[in-house]
Amino acid sequence: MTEEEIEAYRMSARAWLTQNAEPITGRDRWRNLKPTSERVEDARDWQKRKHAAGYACITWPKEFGGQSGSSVQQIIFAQEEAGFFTPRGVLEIGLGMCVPTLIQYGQNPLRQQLAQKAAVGEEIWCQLFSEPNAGSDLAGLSTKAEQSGKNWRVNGQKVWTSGAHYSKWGLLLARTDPTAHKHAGLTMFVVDMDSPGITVRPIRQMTGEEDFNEVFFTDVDIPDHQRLGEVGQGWSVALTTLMFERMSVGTDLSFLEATDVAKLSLNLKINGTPASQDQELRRNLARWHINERGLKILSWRAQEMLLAGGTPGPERSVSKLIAASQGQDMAHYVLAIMGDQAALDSAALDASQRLLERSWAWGAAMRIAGGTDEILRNIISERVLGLPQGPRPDLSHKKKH
Amino acid sequence: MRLTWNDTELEFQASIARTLDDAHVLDHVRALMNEKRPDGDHLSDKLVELGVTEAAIPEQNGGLGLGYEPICLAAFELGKRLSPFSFASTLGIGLTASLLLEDDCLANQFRALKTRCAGARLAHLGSTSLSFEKKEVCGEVSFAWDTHNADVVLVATTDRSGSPILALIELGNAGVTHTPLPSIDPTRSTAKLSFKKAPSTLLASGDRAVTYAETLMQHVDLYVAFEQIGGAISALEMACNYARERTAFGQPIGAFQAIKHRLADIYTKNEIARAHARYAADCLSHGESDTGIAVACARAAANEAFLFAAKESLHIHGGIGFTFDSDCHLFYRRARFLSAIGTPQLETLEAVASHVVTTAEGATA
Ligand SMILES: Cc1cc2nc3c(=O)[nH]c(=O)nc-3n(C[C@H](O)[C@H](O)[C@H](O)COP(=O)(O)OP(=O)(O)OC[C@H]3O[C@@H](n4cnc5c(N)ncnc54)[C@H](O)[C@@H]3O)c2cc1C
Repeated sequence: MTEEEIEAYRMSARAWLTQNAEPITGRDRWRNLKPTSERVEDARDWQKRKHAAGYACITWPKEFGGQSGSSVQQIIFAQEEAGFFTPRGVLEIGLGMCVPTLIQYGQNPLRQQLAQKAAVGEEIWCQLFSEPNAGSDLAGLSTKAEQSGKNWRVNGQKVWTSGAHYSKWGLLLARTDPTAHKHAGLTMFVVDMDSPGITVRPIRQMTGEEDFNEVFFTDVDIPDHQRLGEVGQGWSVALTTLMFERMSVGTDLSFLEATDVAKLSLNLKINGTPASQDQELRRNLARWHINERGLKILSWRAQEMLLAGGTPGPERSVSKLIAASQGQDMAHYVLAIMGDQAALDSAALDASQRLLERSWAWGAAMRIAGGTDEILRNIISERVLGLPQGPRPDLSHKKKH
Repeated sequence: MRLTWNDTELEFQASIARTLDDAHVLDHVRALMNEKRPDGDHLSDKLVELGVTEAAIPEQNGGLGLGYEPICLAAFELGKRLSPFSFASTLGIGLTASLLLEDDCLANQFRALKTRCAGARLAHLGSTSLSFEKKEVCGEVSFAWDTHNADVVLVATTDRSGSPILALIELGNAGVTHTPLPSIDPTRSTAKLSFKKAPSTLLASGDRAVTYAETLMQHVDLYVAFEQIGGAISALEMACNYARERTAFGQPIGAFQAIKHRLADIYTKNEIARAHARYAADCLSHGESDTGIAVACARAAANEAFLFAAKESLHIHGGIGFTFDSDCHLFYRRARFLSAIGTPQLETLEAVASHVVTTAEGATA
């Protein structure tokens, strides 16, 4: 695309967004903080409208419900959309990770049908990877899929499955060969969440909301044509899914920002003087702002690289590592200044403090979800800096699972 | 806005890197450290040959018209090798001032790096101990850096009527006393400069003096930031190499998470600082209104990155890291030295803080 084409595309996207959504101004960011589960219908509706206007799944081929557009267009639209209140977080797992994996590894007509329905927001997807005994060590999972005729019969349990309770399809990583070495015995499937034998049990989170679930499989049959990739190739298919996750650079966690803390501090006191004049607080504001701004610049740079046809680097690992901890730390810092008010639940607090509550709770969650802080540091040090792996008793004797 | 480097810039950087590699800069710094002396002449001819001083000069004035990016990349490559050259002060203050003033005569001296500029803070107009009368300066600059072979220094003060003044003083002139101060990094000099009716050249007065002083400090802070980031990246590389080689308890120490996670943290800080510095360079080249806050963020992030990388890299080297023979202390000293020149650390943080608080007040008003 030429500069002029890019600008024209940006302008028409912005015009469409302005007519169809409400712009975010600095003052009221906290308004978008409804729990994910309460935003499902809004998200479907928004996706349908985007699709009708030609802004949904821009890079997917037309035959799969996309626009056969370029990643340049996709990035531009995402940049513009970030400035508006839109129901985020509901469809991202499916549209950002699961369906792209399906498109890469699935067979027609299944993949065509499912991708089209996902693109218009009709069917939602969840990611069935983690298990009670396999989180960071994902390849250690034990949910079994055994071949029986043209089907696979699945038994086992998944956990922390975000959105399983409103999903129609799941991307399921299961063990098909318990005798093979850990990573070699896995296969990826697509599973209809309405299949007989599946029980979805919501898990109540620390926050009291229910966004993720336990998913139990008892003799669930999956037709072989719903297998993605070869039998035993599940690990490399899973790595593709996680790569798609990494491509989603610039995701916003909706945590406190330094200016939000500054705003809160205007009404708080430290030892009798306005908190906003406190030296220590001001230094922290500076440090937090420097991190926030730095991450924004990194994500702009990643987008610039994508636009130029390059591939992004480890920006997402760096970004989540900093942003999640920082959100949590900021909340703790403000709570300390609040004194006895910190003992109160958000219900008793001003609406503007919902961001504080969100950072306090979801800062903790985001240090775990999508690769814990420790796993991200392992990834950075091993893959970027080339440091050796620590001892891996699970690999040393090519031990069986 | 452009946040990646283009091909011209990357070629420029590569040729600087080649030249500096051939000059064995770090070996030279090791030797200087052994002799405890500073030296600025080592590289100036090479920098001129490479066109570093021509980069930001518009083409119609015979320069390369490439903006400030190549200068930043040069600072980065020099910083990586702990170059002792007075880069930030000579280019950031001297050359930049001559370009702002469109003073061809002065510019020609700096373009050829025949004249070197000592570093001194150009701030707090009005509260300095310097007085300016009939183009003569009295008083002192209590801390200046890269002074030992400097030819000139720029000072910001006010005249008798209280109007801001930016003036240039030739250090060889009568009335100038140069008192060396012991530097924590002996490869970089520090001194007190005292003036007794020292003759000066008036460069700018009034509002123009204030704006120029601000711009010059932005250049100094940004070039220092690039030097710091270069240093931080070398310190990280050194620590990673050592962590791969050194073994303990039957494995490379780099396989211990306490070590590799520390290295990952150095990397993260470096990436944040790099992002800021690149953005600030873009702002500076295009005269963006964001330049002030962008440079402050870049400088603060670079202070943090180099100080952290230097101290943790030393630590990862164990006992060797505490010896005079290891390079660790060169980095540890340089990180401390650089963090102390230009705008002071806490003032830089305060500039960012006040930007945040002002934004918040604006949003609630
Ligand atoms: C909000 C939320 C949503 C989620 N959504 C989904 C989803 O939709 N689908 C899905 O499949 N999963 C989901 N997850 C699961 C998530 O991916 C896992 O929780 C995560 O990978 C960690 O696994 P775990 O909980 O088993 O913890 P563990 O792996 O048991 O980790 C426990 C602790 O040990 C540390 N640890 C583990 N290994 C190492 C190591 N090698 N080095 C150092 N420390 C280590 C961890 O860092 C952590 O601190 C979600 C989690 C959360 C919190």
